[in-house]
Amino acid sequence: MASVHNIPAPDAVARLFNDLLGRRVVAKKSAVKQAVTPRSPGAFGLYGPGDDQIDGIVFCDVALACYSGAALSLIPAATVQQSVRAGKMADGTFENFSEVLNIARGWFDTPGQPPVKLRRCVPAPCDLPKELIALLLKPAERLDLDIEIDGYGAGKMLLVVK
Amino acid sequence: MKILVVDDSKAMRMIVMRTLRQAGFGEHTIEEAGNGIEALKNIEQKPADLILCDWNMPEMNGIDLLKKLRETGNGVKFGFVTSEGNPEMRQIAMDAGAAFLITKPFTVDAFQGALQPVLTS
Repeated sequence: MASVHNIPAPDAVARLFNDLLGRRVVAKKSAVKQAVTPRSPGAFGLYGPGDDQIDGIVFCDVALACYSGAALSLIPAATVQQSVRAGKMADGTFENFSEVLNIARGWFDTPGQPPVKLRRCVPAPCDLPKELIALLLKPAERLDLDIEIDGYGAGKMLLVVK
Repeated sequence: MKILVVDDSKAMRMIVMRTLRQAGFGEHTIEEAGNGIEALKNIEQKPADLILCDWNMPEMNGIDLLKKLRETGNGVKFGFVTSEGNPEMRQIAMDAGAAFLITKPFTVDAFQGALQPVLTS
């Protein structure tokens, strides 16, 4: 069954990062689908029209979450590389990254459907309810992206919608 | 002229202030607040000429701040800078007395286009 929510084109994802971070960002469809689980290091953004209705998920690996969070507030790339190597985001970087995901809510907007909002941003590994794990495993649509942020580095993103 | 930037995200306040400077409004005094309550306290000390405000914030959100200002007779120029800008929200904002609504992510051009007419009127 087709999803009631939009899933963005890679160019739209790149444009949002570009406008927000003020630097060149390239987003390309990944050659290989990512096997994302709640135990995957990174962060999840959970989107829906209500707190109790999550219709879309964005997962970013640690590298992309760190680089985008750092670039948002001009934290030097060298500073954030340590977090990428350690596989864990600093609190300030995570807060910034949450703002990136908050603004990304527009990716899911679909004419005729109620607007979705970022309901939660969760650092991972984490626990997710079984219905969200099911959404990760069997979405109506998915988009796997390789994203490179100029001056910082590359990471991976997965978007899924119900 | 004083511009007050209200957003619960410190990073976003920084980006808004940077964009203000890039858009040519850097000669104005730019101050910041983390929510509506902080904004009210700030302008109690010294009135603002323009408030740029996020919509969703803890403590007091943007639309409640705008309504509070208008209820108390404060006609400060007010614009929203927010991640959501559907037609319904725009109508609510304009009905409450906002001059414009800019959606995130924004560009320098968007700031110039929205702020220039307001600041020169």
